[in-house]
Amino acid sequence: MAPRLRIQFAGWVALLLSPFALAELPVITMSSVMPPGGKIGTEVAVTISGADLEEANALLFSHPGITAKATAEKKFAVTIAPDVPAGRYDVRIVGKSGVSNPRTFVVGDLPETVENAPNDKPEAAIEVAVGSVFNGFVKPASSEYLKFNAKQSQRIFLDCSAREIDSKLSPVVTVLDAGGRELAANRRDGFVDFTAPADGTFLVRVNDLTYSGGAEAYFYRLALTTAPHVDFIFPPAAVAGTKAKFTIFGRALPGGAPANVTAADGKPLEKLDVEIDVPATPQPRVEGASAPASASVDGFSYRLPSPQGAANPVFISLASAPVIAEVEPNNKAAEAQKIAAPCEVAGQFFPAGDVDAFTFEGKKGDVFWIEVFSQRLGLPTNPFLLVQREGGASQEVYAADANVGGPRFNTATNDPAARLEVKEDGVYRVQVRDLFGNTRSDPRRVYRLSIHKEAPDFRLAALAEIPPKNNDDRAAIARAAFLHGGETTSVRVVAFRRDGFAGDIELSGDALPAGVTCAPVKIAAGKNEVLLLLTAAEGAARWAGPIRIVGKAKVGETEIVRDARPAVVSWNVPDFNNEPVPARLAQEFDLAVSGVENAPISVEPAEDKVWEAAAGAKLDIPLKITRRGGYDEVLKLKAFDAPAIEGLKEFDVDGKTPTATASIDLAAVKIPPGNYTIHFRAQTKGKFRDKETPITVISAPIRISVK
Amino acid sequence: MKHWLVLLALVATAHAEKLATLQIEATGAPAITLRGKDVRQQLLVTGKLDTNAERDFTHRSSYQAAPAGIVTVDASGLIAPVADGTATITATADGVAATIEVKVENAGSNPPVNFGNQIVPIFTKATCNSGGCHGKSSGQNGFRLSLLGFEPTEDYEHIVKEARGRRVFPAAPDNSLLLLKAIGVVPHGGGKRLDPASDDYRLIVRWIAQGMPYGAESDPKLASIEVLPKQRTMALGGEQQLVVLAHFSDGAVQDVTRSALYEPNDKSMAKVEEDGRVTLFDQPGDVGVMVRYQGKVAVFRGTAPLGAPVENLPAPRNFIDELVFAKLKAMGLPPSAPCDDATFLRRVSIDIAGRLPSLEETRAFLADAEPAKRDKLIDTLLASSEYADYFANKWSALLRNKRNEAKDARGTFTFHAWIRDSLLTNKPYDQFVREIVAASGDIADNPPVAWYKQVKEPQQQLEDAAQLFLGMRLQCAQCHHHPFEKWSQHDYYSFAAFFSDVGRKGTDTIFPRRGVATAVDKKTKQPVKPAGLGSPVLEIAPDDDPRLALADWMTHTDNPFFARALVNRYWKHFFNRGLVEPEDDMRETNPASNPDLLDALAHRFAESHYDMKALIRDIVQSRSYQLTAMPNDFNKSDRQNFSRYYPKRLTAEVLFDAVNQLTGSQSAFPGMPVGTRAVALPDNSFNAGSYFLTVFGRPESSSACECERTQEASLAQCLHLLNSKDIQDKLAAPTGRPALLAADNKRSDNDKLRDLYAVAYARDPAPDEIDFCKQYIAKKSAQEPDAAKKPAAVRQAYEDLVWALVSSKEFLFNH
Repeated sequence: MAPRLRIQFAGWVALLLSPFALAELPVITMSSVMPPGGKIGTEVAVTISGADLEEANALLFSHPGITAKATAEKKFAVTIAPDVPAGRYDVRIVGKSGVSNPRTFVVGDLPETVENAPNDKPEAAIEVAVGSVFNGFVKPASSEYLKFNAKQSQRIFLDCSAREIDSKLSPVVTVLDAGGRELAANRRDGFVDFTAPADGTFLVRVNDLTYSGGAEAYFYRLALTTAPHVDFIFPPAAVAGTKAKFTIFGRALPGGAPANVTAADGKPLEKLDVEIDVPATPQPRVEGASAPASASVDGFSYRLPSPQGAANPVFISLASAPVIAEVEPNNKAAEAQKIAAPCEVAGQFFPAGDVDAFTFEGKKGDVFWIEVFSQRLGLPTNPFLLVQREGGASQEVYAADANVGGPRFNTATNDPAARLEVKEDGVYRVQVRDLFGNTRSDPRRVYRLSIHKEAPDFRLAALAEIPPKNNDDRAAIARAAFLHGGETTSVRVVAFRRDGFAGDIELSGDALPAGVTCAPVKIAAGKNEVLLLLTAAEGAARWAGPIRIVGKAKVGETEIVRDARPAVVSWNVPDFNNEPVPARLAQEFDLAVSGVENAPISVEPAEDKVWEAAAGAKLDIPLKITRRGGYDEVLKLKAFDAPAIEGLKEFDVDGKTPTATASIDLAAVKIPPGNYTIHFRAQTKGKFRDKETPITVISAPIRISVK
Repeated sequence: MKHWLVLLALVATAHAEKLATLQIEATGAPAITLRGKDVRQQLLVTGKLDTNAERDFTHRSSYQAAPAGIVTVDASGLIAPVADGTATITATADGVAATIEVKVENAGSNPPVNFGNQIVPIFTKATCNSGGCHGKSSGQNGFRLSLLGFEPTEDYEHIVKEARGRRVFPAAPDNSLLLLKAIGVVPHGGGKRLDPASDDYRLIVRWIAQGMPYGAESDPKLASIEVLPKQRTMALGGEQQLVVLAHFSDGAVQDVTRSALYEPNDKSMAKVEEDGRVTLFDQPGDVGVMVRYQGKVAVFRGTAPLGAPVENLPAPRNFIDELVFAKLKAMGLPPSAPCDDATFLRRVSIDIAGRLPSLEETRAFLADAEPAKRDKLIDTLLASSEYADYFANKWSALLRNKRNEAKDARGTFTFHAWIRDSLLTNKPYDQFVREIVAASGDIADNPPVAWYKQVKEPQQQLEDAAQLFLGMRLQCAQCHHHPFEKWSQHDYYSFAAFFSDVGRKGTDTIFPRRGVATAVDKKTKQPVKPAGLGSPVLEIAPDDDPRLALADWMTHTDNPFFARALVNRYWKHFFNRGLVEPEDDMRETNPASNPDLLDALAHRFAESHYDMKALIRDIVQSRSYQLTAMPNDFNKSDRQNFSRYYPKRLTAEVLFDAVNQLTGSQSAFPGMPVGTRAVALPDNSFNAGSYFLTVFGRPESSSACECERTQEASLAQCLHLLNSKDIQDKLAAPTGRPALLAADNKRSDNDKLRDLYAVAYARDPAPDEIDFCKQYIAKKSAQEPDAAKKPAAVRQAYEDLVWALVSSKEFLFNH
């Protein structure tokens, strides 16, 4: 057995250190923080793991109430202030090589324990108290065992967090009796609603779905709790800045009444009416809706308080109008519920095969967008939308499959949206159903149907990403933005255009540290993304912290301003064709400036000005090349980020010359008139910190104007 | 010895039977009318013996027709018309006679021949249009006929019009190339297919002479065929003439005995001549003879009882026993004795949980004096997670849970777990199937979607669904009318239409597209709407998923296929032989060996709301299941009446685990926890790394057919058990059972050998077995002169003994 295990670990190490991850200047990365959470008002000893951890002596939390002090190499004492609300926060490591990608750090109200001994056999099960959280990890080709005591008829919720705290684990949680008989299990979302059949000790088995494992990637938190559990909230949306009424459906709800609804696991649900203050502005990274596609949704998360501790979070989205509820029966066209557009309707794809039909009067000239929000609320649904004029043609909408974020940040969603231009007065029928819900009844499958007047708008997401080296480069890297002195790095900004918005979106950086600049760029009409460049001056001081990336656009006479939602790749993926890239929204967009090391090569325009030329003329841009040792190969510079500029051939800059001229013959390379921020890139190799390190050199942004 | 005497007495009695009365018939009607020149009629002469048994005398009678000149009757009882009039035919056998009147009309007329009704069947009977000859889609040497004559219009084109009409020559019909080839005068790759003296030859000649009429649209169409008798109890080695009648749309009935094709479903039991004469061999049991004629099928069931006295039957435990024992009584086939507790424990543990009983279980069960302990054991096994493991292993293969590449693992693990959970929680079978057939979503969220990942095309989906859930093999009907079944291409595409709205995103996500479900019939090029097999067309709204309608149709308690297919599949799992065999070929022409039992099982299964554990409980609680595998003097050759337990080799996975259990070793499948049992493996991918699993036939999950699992024995299997490093390593492992037993100085060899036998066979060793083993250990020890090396010699002896157990039939088989 032992040799096989070694091979598995060797494979894991090889993956961590495989060349694709080293193909740029080192940037600190974080694999795990153990434990990945702690109790409010306590101090927690944590151990971190990752790569490029030189001088990794600070942790950066997304809540100021959580602070850390280094106690030893990779070890910190984390203090969670008593006023930090329960929830998921981001933690990053700061070191010589910048600031890392974030990991989730959960702040809760239950006592916590950490795995401290091997527990891969039932005999070695670690005892966990009901009303506590266990933090552990799963080894490869292995199952982990815990045990707890319960009285007959005692109801306990086992809630295993893994994916939602950035773990690679797909948890399978099984409760067994002392004789090893399986009493309850969950393979999908880690939640088991368990009632003890007798007094006794019960085993909990935790394993990965495919028996993968490893301490640095397959960590989990298992709560054994009697606190309430929320299955879903209805309606799943409300108008921002209001006090709104909701009904919570769940289990062990304080003061809850029977809901006469059976959950997918066969357990009866309770319901509880609550009033919630809906925030005026959306939260940046929202628990329950942090998938890339959810970047286009505004909302906040809510936890029901209780004496046993706060319940699990639910996501509530922000609606464009007061939300009305669907009224059954409305499955058939003849039973369609009458509504008045524009409006927001909340409904439920329940029971299996449920269809909801609505009708409204359309006036000639009205332009509506009819959009379903469900999968983006974090639900496993595939809403289907059918829009018909009574007696007229129909419009079928399956899903907004468009993936504006590409394979490294897949934003495709199952939620459909349709534009309805009312050509004549009449009754219009909207029918929604869940294409995934034919055979299964799951009351959690709620949706929000938004029928609103066309109001072009946009949302943005930003992630630190070095552009791919070539067409065969299918790697995705978990990293944060990091600048050495004199270096330019890139941030990919992705636009979610709403209601057909087609205009330019101007982007700029905000709250930048001293010495860091950001040339304004725009996501041009018809495009969905651009690279935003951040440049550190040589000698810029060491710094790590959040910055903002802001987009502005004109819709008619109105200027709309939107902060880009921070996003990250959670784990390195060598080839996105072989496995999906785990990516999510983050709470902050963090940047680090080295302060001690400079970029090996800087390429910048000789002057900071707008370089102008007439269409058809020749545009010569003198460049300044600064080499700071270790990298003296010929640079093959290629130009990017203006229309038709790909026609410009890459040109060589030899290893010694400190100047070069980028010469653009606008007669051959037909860049249309306009203002652009272009840059040059080159792949080169050399030695950094005495180690062979290939890098992508990105030039400082160059503003050009074609007249 | 006593039984042999009984058997001899039985045979002697059979010879002493005397013919009492004789009956002559042909169509079931009291008289025969022959209209036209071409008609023939086969007679059927049945004698009643003084024992009341019926026997066929068709070929043992002599025939006379009076007055002469109206009809002729040959020795096989075939009548041909000669002239108009009425005659009386007398059949005489053993001095007993019977008569029937025959009337001939229009004997001199020359009515136009109907191509489809009269000519095409000749090609079929002569196998001209078989799949290996002109019937294949490319034809043979430039001449093509539709397969088995299913498309007469095409055949007419090819014979009469193709090749500028050179195949037929109306001016001199005998010189037609078609006939010259068929009688082998002109070189013919297929040799001589027709006798120029035959009726068939003469009919073709007459058809050509008539100018090759196709027949009028108004001509009667073949509606059905009927075989007489439908069922008969026959003597071992006896024979039975069949009469096949074609019923036409105008009500006319015509004898087609000589044109029909015959095939027994068990070729080891009977043979059938071209003229419809069935001859049984000497194996008691039931045989079905499939009769085919122009796309229509009928079946004759012959039963050959042994006729031994059936006494001292165990008291029936449930309806299964009542029906099995009734059959055994009817067959005169006395069942073997009930099996002992040890045999039952091992048998039922393997059949339900896919594993040998543990040492502790064996000790406890054998010591338990409780009368209901077998029932208790059954319930314990059914409640165990091993039951779910074992049956998930079975279903996972049939549902094609296959890992094609490493990244499929998440999907295969998920689907396997879903199957296992469904079995563990005893999800009703109808719901289980519904969730598969109508699956939508992605695999992670809704695991049965994985079935659609593997079964990609609508045609594969319908074929797998039909074979797996209905026991119907529809594959043939994709391209032509099913040769052995009533299903046409129209039926096939109507069934395919249920899957026509399956939408797919990538490979792992399935959703129902909106729209009216239709599939294009390959033959007519017309869209057809969904219809269940043998059921009316369904009108399904564009918003509705047709697969739900399919699931509704399949799982309705009145569905004639659904419950029967499952109970037959499970029956085979436990009895090693389906009531219908093979278990997923439940066509009308392949009758069950005990149809009442199949009906009763299916009925009870549907009534129980498709409770799979209840079905298993019924089966294994029955006395029939609990009979010993040891034959008595009468039932050694019984292979279909369940008069004893039919032993079966352990499947690859069960054997793999059993060897580990006996040798005290643990599996090490890559990526799985050490000790994972082979029956609990989630997918096929582990076969590649395990020669053991491959050589013993673990399936690759590539097919919906149980037959993908090979249960045959092979030399490679023997060699693997006898001298592979794999097995040797297990035997010689320092932590293995032989080493531990040998090192155990506290217990006697007797006790240790009892342990070994209990683990391997779930029984105590017999005194001579103990003696033999002890002598072997002593001998090995004695052969080693060096005292220090004696422990090693003893260990070697234990290794050898375990090795012998592993290789023994009693270990390798469930019996």
